[in-house]
Amino acid sequence: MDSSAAVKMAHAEGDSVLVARTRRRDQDAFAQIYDRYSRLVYSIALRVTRNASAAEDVLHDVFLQLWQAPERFDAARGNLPAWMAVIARNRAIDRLRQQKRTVDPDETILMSPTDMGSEVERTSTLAKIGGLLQTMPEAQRRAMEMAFFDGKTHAEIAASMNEPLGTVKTRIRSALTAIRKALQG
Amino acid sequence: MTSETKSHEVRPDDLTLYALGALEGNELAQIGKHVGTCASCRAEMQRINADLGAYAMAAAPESAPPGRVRQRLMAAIAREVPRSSGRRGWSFAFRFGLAVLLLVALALEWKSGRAWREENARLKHELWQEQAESAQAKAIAETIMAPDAMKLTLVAANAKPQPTAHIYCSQQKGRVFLMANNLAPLGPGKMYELWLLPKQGAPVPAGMFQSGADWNAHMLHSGLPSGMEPKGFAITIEPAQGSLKPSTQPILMGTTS
Repeated sequence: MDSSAAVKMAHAEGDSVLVARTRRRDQDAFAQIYDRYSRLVYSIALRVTRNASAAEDVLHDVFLQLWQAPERFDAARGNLPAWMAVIARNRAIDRLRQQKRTVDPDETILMSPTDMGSEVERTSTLAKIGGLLQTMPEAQRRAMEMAFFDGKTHAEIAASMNEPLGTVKTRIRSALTAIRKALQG
Repeated sequence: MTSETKSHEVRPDDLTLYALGALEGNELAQIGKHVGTCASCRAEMQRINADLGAYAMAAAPESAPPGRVRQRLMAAIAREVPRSSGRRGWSFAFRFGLAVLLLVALALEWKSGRAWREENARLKHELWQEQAESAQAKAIAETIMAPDAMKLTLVAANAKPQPTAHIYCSQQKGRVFLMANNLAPLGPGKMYELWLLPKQGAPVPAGMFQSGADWNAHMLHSGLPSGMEPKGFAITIEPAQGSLKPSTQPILMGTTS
């Protein structure tokens, strides 16, 4: 095992061990998870809500949910930061819409080909996706942002961009396909 | 419904939009219904959510949260952790302080006549009452949470043990606490889901839980919608990722009336 693989394994085990300890009501383990991922959750919540106070509430709610129901995260099948990122986005969108979402992916287990729990792996992967987003066609990037961060429906995006529904669907799907390729590459 | 949906296939475009919550109306209902019964679509949903998680991490400008959120959060979870017998928190400090004040008041009372004595007697009685109630609550909590605690439900002699659940719900706090007995552990991919049955409208998810090897379960769920008066609660068996609405018949149900 080379050194990067060793670091990867140590950190990956760290997340799953911390979640397991959190299930046993270990406050110290929970605090470590907070220190590791609160910045991520807050950043996403702030990007969605564009309101610091609302983002703080989302941050609080997301971590309180993790404390109250840590069993919803299956460390064997998913990675914690990606799981928390999606939950943060959904909670923030809920807040924007001021209602319970009809689809609640909070309870969906995430599977990823990439170990985002490793700091080394995460930095490398995010750099790749960041580069991809910079080179992505403007209309495709914008459609993805409106769907993910603004919580708009495909009909709203189509109306806003003055494009057919089918085009919007294809743009979003293509963006996600490119991201998946970057994750796998 | 499209022919693709009928043939057990959903277009990847639609599945992506479904994961994003970007579908509406019939499309949302149709895709949701299909995903609820299609393992391959659920697996693809998981992959899409992983892709979305990676996208979120890369696309959101990084910002640091204020320290007060951490303080508020840790204080909130500390309130939920059962206290060990060796720890004395604010409650003890408060009562100790109150007792000191009471003693001072009693000393003053000696000089201040009957009215003071009566008032202090009343305060003393209230303090004793509060201490007695606190001691009782503590004893109950310690008994329930003890590692060797046994949970038994007494039924008519010779009757087969039946699943039971006790629900404690506070609309004001938006919380519900469940304690269940005689619930069989579920296999992989399945979980019990509690539903709030409102006086008007469709059932609202109120938390998911598993039953332990001892066939007992407990769950605290926060975030119940405000202003939704429950008519009752029900428990169903659902896929582990949850359902938009109950997909099976309730195994337990009760009303508030």
